[in-house]
Amino acid sequence: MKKLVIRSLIIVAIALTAAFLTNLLRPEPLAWIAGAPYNIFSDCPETAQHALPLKIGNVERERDFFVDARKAAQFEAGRIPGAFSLPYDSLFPADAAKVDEIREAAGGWRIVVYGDMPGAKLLADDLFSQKAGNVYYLEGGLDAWLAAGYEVEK
Amino acid sequence: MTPKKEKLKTILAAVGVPLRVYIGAVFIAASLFKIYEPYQFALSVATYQMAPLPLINIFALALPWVELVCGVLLIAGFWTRANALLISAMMLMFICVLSVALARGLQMSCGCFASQDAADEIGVHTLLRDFAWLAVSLYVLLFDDGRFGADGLLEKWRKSHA
Repeated sequence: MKKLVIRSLIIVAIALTAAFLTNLLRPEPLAWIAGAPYNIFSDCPETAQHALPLKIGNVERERDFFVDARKAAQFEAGRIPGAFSLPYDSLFPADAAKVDEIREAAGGWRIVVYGDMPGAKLLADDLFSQKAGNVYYLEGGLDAWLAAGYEVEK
Repeated sequence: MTPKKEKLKTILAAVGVPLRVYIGAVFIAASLFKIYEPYQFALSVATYQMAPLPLINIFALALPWVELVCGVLLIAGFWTRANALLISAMMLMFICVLSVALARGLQMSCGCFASQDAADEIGVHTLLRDFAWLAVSLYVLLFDDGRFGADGLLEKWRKSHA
């Protein structure tokens, strides 16, 4: 048992030495003691109390739920794969049944509205105020999506 | 030791070989990204909101190397039991952290957390997986004395040079 513990301690010591040396060799070594608390939250609509912008580089294509705020004809012509069509209407708020559908389909993950401005942002704010979830709007809309080299669905 | 008991020990140790290679590979695979991206791992550790701030970076820098060294040595069968002991201890720690996170109802998949690693959903399935890995490492600790690895070769070499 004593031998087991001594060997374990030697293994930990080897690992610590390797950790120390590799950290020294990094261009920007990580401080062994954190100087300031980590900001574990990203910008969150819940704390901001309104929909927030989302840059194309921060999109999680596999997980985010996309809502297309453009007209139905534009949606048909080309859309982000799997997007939900909810054309922005400046006169009426989004239909509550559709908001429920979006909330359910998003499954707690981010809802990203895209389309022409300011319609997409206004629809995102509307969805947020109707408690659809954590709603963002995509900066640059579909153009940013295409410029990033992502495919569209027709 | 009777020949029957010795035979049983040999069989148990032989069964331990694929198990220790598997768990070793799991730990090597788990360690590489953490070593490459220590800041991201530190952020994930912080997201669990369990470790005090002064320990977060120490943990984030040291743990992946312990995982890597243990994984490599376990596959090689060098100091097999000591490595299995450390891996079992780490698995126990992961299970405790995961259980506390689940009990607290930490929901990390809302998209509000800066760490995308921590955003991967945790649940009962992750806990069961960790228990399975703990069982594997405990088996290696109890039954694999490294006779089919570097430990066995060293023992033979020692005997031949005694």
